[in-house]
Amino acid sequence: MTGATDTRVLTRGEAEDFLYHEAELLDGLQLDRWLELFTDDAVYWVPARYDEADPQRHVSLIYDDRGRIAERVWRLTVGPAHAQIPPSATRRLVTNVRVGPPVEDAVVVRSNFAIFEVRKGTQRAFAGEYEHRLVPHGDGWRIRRRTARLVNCEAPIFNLTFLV
Amino acid sequence: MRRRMETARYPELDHLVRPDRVHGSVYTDPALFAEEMRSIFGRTWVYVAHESEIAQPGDYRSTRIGTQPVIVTRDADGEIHVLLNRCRHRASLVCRERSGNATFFRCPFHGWTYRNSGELLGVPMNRRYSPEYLDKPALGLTPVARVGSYRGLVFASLNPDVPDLVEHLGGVRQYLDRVFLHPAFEKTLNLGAGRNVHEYPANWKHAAEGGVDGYHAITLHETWFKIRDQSPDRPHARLGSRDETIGYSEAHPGGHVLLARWPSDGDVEAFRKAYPEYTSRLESEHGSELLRDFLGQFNVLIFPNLHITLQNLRVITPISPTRTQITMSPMLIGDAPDELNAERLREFEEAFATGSFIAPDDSEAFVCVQEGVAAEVDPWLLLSRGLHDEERLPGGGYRGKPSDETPQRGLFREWKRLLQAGRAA
Repeated sequence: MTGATDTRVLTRGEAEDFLYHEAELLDGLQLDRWLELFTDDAVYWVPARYDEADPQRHVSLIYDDRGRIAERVWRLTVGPAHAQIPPSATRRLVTNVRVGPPVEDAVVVRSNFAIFEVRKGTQRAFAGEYEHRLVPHGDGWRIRRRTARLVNCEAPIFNLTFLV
Repeated sequence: MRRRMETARYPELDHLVRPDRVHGSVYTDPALFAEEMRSIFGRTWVYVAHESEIAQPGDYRSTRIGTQPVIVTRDADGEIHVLLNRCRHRASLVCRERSGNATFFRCPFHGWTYRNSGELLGVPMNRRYSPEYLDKPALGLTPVARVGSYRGLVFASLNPDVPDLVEHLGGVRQYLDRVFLHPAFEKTLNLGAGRNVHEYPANWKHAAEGGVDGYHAITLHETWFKIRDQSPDRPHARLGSRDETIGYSEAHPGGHVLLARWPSDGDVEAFRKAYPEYTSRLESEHGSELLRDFLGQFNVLIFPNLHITLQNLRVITPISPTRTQITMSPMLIGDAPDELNAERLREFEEAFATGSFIAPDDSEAFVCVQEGVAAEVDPWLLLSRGLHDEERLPGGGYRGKPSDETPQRGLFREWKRLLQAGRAA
């Protein structure tokens, strides 16, 4: 799936292009295309504690393997997911993009995000840090691990059924 | 005379709560909410913590009894205290952290300092108080009137005359003993995996009722059942389906209500295969019935604020008539295989997390009800399902089919009884 391609380098510009593309798919609710960005062994994680979270010992807000990411997308696109009727409109800002040293054969990209979410006349704001672990795939990249660390992950949350 | 005039402002409780229906104002009226805080949360036993959260001397956990802030502490001798989180000087909180370990609490405002058992230790610049105004033994953090612990569940009551805790738990205690707090799990059960805190803009009773509602899942949670059926090899919460023959709902005196459904023989066999060593140890030490209970679906409400449901513990905290928080924690078993506990985390995240496939849909339904009751031309919510066919239990409870509204009727009977008692007091 990934091969011995750890010589591939991801520049900050390329990382930004990837994140902006992903953000566009999410805010545009093109979720089937978003799903295609993930590897078969991918994990999508939203921790429930701000520091030292370990998904094997601590409960999370979201901890999806690839199968559950697909179920999540199915619920949002076919459903009905009642907490998303009507659906949230979102617009997200992705900034402070940093390409760090690789972990195993994945490139680690960290960025900050701010998401404005509007549903049923109420706007809510969510902020935090993304960590994308990307592996080469053809000419592009695929997500092996996507972590969204919300700064309000320990605070009360009403509805996290839209995609952060 | 004065009292009669005061109570005359309140709507008649017999009008609001009838055998087959409740009036929508029970979810909206600020005067009724204030009365609930006094007469329910102020008069009965309220769950405040699990002992695993304050396991060591000095451990503390701040929480609320209704809307009143309290600190649950374990002192140097291991004794548990529940103290009002309010400085005796000018009422500031003395503890602002959710949990931690401390031998004393120092008020941030003027520095009055209290031992974790409540005694006032120090008052800065105390020479400007004449002795009759600084009776230190009388100025400790106010303890709540009663504290009780049942198999690790810590309850407190602001009412000195509340019945004994074991008596209060009454008929629902057997479900705690048999399932969640069975001796096989009681000693190692813990909330160490942390929590999800939900908040929804609607009344607290929607959650109390919804957690024991065996009628809604097949509709509201339709997508979850489809996902479960499409992926039988993945861990899923043990929710029952439409089958009315394998369980029941119950309402017990005290407002404690529940749903109970048992697993199929196939479910039990599959679990034995998945965890052969653990299950054979459980069965040899505690008998084979235990597995059937362990793998069942039990949703228990210990009135008014504690759900123990499907391997997780939920605490309902009312904030206002139209705002509620629910803290949900998966319960881990300390001596179970790591894979079993990890499976519980994944089940929780699929069903009960704030980003999950079930609990946010419940919150959505609660908000839909809250918005719907504003249409008050016809103010009633119907609770008549199964009313014609309820079985009377020894000890004063009722039993119905799993999808009956027996639990909701039981909850409102106790709601009315406590409010009536509060008005008579």
